[in-house]
Amino acid sequence: MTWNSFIYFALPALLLWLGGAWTAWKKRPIPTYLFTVAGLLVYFAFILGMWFSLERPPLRTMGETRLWYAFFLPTAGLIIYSRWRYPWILAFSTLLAGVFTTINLVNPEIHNKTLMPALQSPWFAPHVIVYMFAYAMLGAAALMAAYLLWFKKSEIIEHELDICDNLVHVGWAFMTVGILFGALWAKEAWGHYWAWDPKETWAAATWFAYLAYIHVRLRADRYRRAALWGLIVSFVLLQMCWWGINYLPSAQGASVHTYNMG
Amino acid sequence: MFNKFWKMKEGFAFGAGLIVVGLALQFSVGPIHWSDFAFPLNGIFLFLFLCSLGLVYVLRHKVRFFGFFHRVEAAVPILLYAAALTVAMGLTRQVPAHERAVDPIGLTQMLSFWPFVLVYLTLAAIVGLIVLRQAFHFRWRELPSMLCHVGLFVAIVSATLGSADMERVKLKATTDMPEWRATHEQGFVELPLAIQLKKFTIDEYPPKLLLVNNKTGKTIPEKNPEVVLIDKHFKEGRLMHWRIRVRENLPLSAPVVTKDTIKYVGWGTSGAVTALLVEAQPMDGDKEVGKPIVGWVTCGSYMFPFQELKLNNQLSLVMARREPERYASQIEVFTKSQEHIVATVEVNKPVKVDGWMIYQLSYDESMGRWSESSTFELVKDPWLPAVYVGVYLLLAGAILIFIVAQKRR
Repeated sequence: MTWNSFIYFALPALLLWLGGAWTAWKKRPIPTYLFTVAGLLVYFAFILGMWFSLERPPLRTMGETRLWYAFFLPTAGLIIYSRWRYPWILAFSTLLAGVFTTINLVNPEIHNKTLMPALQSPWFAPHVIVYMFAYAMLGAAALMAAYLLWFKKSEIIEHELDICDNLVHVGWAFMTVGILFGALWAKEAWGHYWAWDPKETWAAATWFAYLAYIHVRLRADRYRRAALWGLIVSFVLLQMCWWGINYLPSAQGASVHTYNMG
Repeated sequence: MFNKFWKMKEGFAFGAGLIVVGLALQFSVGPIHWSDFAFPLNGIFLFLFLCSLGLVYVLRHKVRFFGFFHRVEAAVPILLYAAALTVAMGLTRQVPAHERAVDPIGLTQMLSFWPFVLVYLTLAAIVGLIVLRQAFHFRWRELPSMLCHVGLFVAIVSATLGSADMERVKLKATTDMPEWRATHEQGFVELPLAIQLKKFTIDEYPPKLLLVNNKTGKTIPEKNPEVVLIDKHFKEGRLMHWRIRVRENLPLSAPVVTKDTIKYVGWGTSGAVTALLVEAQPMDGDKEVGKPIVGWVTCGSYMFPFQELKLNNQLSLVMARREPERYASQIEVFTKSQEHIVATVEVNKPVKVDGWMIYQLSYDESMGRWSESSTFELVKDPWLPAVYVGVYLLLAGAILIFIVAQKRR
């Protein structure tokens, strides 16, 4: 399996997800589940094929992590849908998955098979996959916040803030698991669980920022707009952590996490 | 200002006060020297810290200032200060722990910067107080949150206090004799154990061929060069309009100079190179154009120079430097208790001897796969079990938060 065959998996998967989004909008849960799961299976078949042909998990380059991101967005969408039945969530996740898939179709960044010894660990896949899932949830929360802050004309209702809270709780939980998996792995690979590497530093800042949101929301009746702004700012910090440090002068040569360039 | 309940505003004011106090300390007594904080000083501090948390907790209804630390209005501003200082740390290039900050304020040595440490300390204190409250007023509903608080508190306190007790040294072992002298930032140390390298091995990824410009030496295309990987499945590959085939593949070989050419023959000792006899056929679509160019290509070793195949005036075919897939050191460890251990250390697979974790760090890269030395990092961290308890509690808390994430009304 190579990137050349990506389109034959990506397009059917996107069409199935679109079908799921449509039936979710029409409030018909059973076809929604069927379509979305079928799309996920098709997409995952490609990821598995890549995994086998590369002889390593496709998690190293930005193009490869986008693949997982595009896979986890509808997964996250389906989980949220099954829990809270938001009719719009699958349309939204399909749209974002479509964006990441298109980037990969236009610019697949074909890479070689090699994987440096430090990345050859059973921790590698869970560490990155859990993170991708967290990014997907927190991305959804940021978009919801943007909608509530800038586009919604009428007053914000409790229910809409609950959506943000639920997304952040799930996203934060996954982010925490991702950080801790990283710490346990770092102890095995680099001798210390936390070395204030630029990636770790930005992860800590992001983690605190989301914690501030979670705690300010304990005073549910107050600071609403400030909390939503907090989600936007936190998501910007998350971008720094994800890819921003690759371009940050202070991290150049100082981070052991900058192997995913290009 | 401080009537009835303290609000968020007072929380921010308190945090700002911490920063001011921290700056005053920074300029009066200088940055924090964590290395002075080794046992028993850190143990004494831990005892005092826990006692004062207990006191603040007990007096929380009597002293309004103490009560405030149990409130969201104290937690949120401190979290935001912590996030902001951590962002400042991420934006500045940090200097190693034993060096002095390169800016006048001390931001480039954030871990020794008083405001940063005071804010983190207050954060840990607040988390500790919430742990006490959640423990003494236990509710099942709060279990996920409590696990997170306990885990974070245990992990952050033991990691911070334990940092001065952690020993991290580098040791370069050779095949000649056991080595017990290691280096760290301050110089040499003698270890209670000695390591001798028995054997060093590298598995390399299959060779890669690519094109370079003869004049500039740059790869084609410059940033993301096209490569062909000569692995066991390889039959033929394409680089621009050249069809690449391999006629002979010698994993270990040495050059032999004949009258007018250089050829390669199998040779299995130190300094051997991988040599490929390559056929490069210029193509126009699927049609062969002209005659193929045939010749040896190697990436060289510490003993032999590399060998390229010149295709025309502009282009040459070269082999990229081999990338290690796995490297491992077979070592013998001798301890003071007369123990004698043979083990294999590789990246991601450290070995534990007498409380020391031994990590594969590097090798003599100029010798590559024929390296006769191997460098290890040895780490001893007596506080690690406590940190792990915290990490696993926090992990459990986070997983529970995911499971029960549902807004209750």
